[in-house]
This record gives sequence, structure tokens and C-alpha cells, in this order.
Amino acid sequence: MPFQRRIIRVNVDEAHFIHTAGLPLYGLPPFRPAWGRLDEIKKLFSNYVRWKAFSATFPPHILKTVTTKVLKTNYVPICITSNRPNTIYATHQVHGSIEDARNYECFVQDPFDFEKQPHVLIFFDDKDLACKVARHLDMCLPAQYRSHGIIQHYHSGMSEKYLKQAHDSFVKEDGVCRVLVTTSGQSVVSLFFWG
Amino acid sequence: MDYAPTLNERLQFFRTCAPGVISQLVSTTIPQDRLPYQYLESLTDEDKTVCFRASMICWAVSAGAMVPREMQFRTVLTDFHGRDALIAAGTGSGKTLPIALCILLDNPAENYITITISPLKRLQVTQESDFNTRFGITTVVINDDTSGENDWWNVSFIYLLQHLLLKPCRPMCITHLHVSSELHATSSSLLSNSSRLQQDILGVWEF
Repeated sequence: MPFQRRIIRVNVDEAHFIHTAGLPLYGLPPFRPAWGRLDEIKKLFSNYVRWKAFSATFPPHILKTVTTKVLKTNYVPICITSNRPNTIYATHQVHGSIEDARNYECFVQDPFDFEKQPHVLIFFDDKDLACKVARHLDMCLPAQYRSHGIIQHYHSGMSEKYLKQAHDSFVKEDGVCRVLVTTSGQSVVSLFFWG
Repeated sequence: MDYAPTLNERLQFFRTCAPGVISQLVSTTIPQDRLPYQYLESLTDEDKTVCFRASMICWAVSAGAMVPREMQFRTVLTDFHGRDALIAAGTGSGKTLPIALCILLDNPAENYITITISPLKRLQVTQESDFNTRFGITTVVINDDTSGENDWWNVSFIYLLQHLLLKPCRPMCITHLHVSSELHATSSSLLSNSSRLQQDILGVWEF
């Protein structure tokens, strides 16, 4: 059988890339133009080739690009919630500015009990803010617990060695870190840890 | 002495045995609480049989560690009916499994190939190893780290290939387009057809 006729299906993983990397956006040329040209590949294959688009990110504008580029009009949507039984959402009213470190005191037990303090991961966009909040939370601990690494910051400005220590201290059973205040650098690592 | 079939022989049996047999196998092999029976009961007999085959294949390749969930069954059924699908599911929800199951449900005699396009080279390395070792699916990765040497592209594996993991990228394409054109002139008809495909697929990536 000719090779091309052996192709029976095409899976597109992280299909939102078709939109985010494949199209010109915000006046800039496409980051990875090949992604925006998958429709040309689709035309090379016969109509019976099944295409599947996988992603966790399908807001309406991305959905429209993906379905137009690679899916037939009678495609089947299969959606499952990103919620998990062990995920609980909560809101906390910010007082003053979101950059006011006192807003984050709710993540440290009061009165503080090391044995009962849960592991908390707090994400920030900004390194300086992450450091500021970590320092402040450390100051909120009873004096004997301060500067022991129970609260630590984690961002790309720190050395590999420090980052490894902070990560290990947070994830290992005998580690002391309970609150890790981090930029997105930790997000991939944490996915592997909890995922 | 009892005949001990290989994994491939078992999989072939699960793919082809009668509906009554596969249904019986599922009920005697897989603990009931592991499968979404409420969903399965809502299906037609034909679809249920496909799901049972997928369940036994999954059970066999994972040595009893995994069974499909509803999302995975639905994806497999969409494929079975020749329809396209949009799967919106979060990280860690098990999107690799239906990719593998669809391939494992294919009749090996048809020599079908599945292409999976993904953006992350690091992830492709893991996936390649996962598909090859965990699922026994002959998988090859092509991305910008792939060799441009003739030897690599003079692909003896092409006949056995079941799964191609691609990353759309620029630098590889021109070389490989060139190489595959050379192959086209010198190789058997099977390879020349495959070379033609490389031109078609990779030709588009080069922009």
C-alpha cells in the first residue's frame, strides 16, 4: 500500500498551538508558522483520515481556529472538567493592594503549629514580590521558627543549587519547607510532583 | 504443556474474538468497579464491544494496571466511527491512552500509521519511549534533532512503523526533503512512496 494511504489518523497534541504559535498575533508574525498551516497537511490526506485535537486550552477564539484548521464540521466534542475531587476553590478578599504582603498571612496557620501547617505553593508574576511576601510570612512565624526555611522563595534569579534545595525541602518527606513562594519557574516541577 | 500466547497474539485475539467472548472476558478479568458501567450500558452493542476490546487491550498492555475511563472510551469510539474529535481535557487526564488504544485496535495486517503532532521535544522523548516500551507501538520521533544523514532516512523500519511523532519545525525540512528526494530515485517502491510522503509532510513544515 502506498505510504500515504497508510496514514489513518492524525493527533494534534496541545492543539491550541495552532492559534497561539501558528497565527500572526498582536501585529507580530507567527512564532511557529508551520502550526498555522496544518490545514495544508489535512488537504494532502484523504477524507477518511481521522483528526483529533487535544488541549486543555480551548477558549472561543482558539476553538474557532482549531476547528476551522484541522477538524471536519461534524467533529465530536469530548470535554471533561479540569476540576478534580481534591481541588477546592476559595476566594480571599484583598485588603488594599494585592502587593501588600499582609494579604498572604492567611496561608500560615495562626497560632502556628509546624506539624499541622499544610504545604502551600503561592505563585507570583514578579520575583521581587515573591521575595517580599516570603520575607513577610517568615516574620509572621513565632521567633523560634523564623529563618529556618519553613517559608522559602523560588524564582529564576536564584542559583541552581538554591532552587534544588528549596524544591527538595518542599517536596521531600523530611523537608522543612511548608510555604513556597514562587514565580512560574516552579509550575512545571509542581505538576510533576502533584500530577 | 499449556500454550502461552505472546502479548501480540493476545492483542490480536482481543481485537477479533466474537462479541460474546470479549464481553465474557471483561466480566471475568476486570473488577467491576474499575469500569464506567453506567456509561457502557448506554452504548449500542457494537460500541460496547469496541469498548470491551479496548478494555482488554489496555488491561493486557498495562499488566492489569490500567483500564480506560469514559473520556478515553468516547475518544476511541469517535475514531471507530471515522469521525474527528476535539478533546478538551486537562493535564494528567490521560490523553495519551486513547492515542495508544486507537493504534492498538487497528488490524496490524493493514499497516496503518498514526501521526501525532506535538510541540515539545522533551515530551516527545518521553512519549516515544512510552509508546515503544509500555504499549509496544513502533514509534519514531521526527523533529529538528532528527539526523539529516541518509542512513537514518533510508528507513528499514518504515514498513513496521505504526506511529510517527512529529514536531513542526524549520531546520530539518530542507535537508530531509533533499534526502528523501534522493531516496526516491534509488529505493524500492515502498520506500519511494514513503519518501514521497516525507516530501509532502515535511515540505509544508519548512516555512
